[in-house]
Amino acid sequence: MGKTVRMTPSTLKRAALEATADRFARGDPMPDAARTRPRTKGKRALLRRDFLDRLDRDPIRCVRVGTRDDGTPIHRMVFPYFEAMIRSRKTTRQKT
Amino acid sequence: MDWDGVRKDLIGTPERGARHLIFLYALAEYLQSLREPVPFVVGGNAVEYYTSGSYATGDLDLKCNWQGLLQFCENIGLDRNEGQFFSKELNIYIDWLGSGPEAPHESDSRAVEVGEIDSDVYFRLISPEDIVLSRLLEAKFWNNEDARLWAERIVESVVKARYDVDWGYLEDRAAQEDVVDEVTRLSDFIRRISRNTGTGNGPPKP
Repeated sequence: MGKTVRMTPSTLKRAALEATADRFARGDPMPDAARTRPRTKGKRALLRRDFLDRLDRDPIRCVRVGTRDDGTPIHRMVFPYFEAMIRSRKTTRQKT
Repeated sequence: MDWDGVRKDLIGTPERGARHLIFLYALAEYLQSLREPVPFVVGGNAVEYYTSGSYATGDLDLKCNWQGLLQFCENIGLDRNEGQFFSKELNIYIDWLGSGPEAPHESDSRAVEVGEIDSDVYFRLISPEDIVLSRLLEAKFWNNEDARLWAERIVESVVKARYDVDWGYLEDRAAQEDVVDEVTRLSDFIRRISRNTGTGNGPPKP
């Protein structure tokens, strides 16, 4: 009897990614994919330290900006780690 | 719309996450001008934002009005392959995954807005609860240990930002997807670090 494979949304997503990978293998454009996949305990510890450093340096801001009709809150988030890069880039462009 | 300005901003931004942010704000502004819903971001890019760039992803997975996206991408000079848009020059790769959130995996009413607090321009991001659940599914059913770590990082990050994680919703969805054990493990971890750091709104005590 065949094994039942559970098709979760993520499974479907992986199937889609694999199909995409096949297209890349055929010579279609390759994205600059650089997924970080820490394989060792040491690397994981480093990743966590780096992550905590980033959070301390540029903490994500979250503000409740309203409430929907069904009572669920509407949150707005700001990601200063990325926003700072955009600001510095735009400033540079305006100066030049 | 200043198409040339958008192109220049994209070309002049080497950091991938920031480049995606520029793209999303510009696309959101364009869709708003068409009176269409703003883009909804899912997948690895959501993990990248919630973890402040600790997780890196190559493509940008989004959902929005197809015609609006098509016009926008053509105007900034992206090439197209079915639902994917790309440009070597702009160093960007977009994967269109549909017109909007799809229940129950992507709750429309829980999506988080992303943008400066006082700005009219914003886009939407899959909720922390939904993206965490997708990682826990990967962890359990693909034996992907890394996915479990990313789920921890996401919750740790949003708890620190004082986001009210809806543990009740997370547990209900976990029961539907058969990952209650993963959520229990995650809430134990968050409770532990909340106690250690004295910050954040951890899960309710069992």
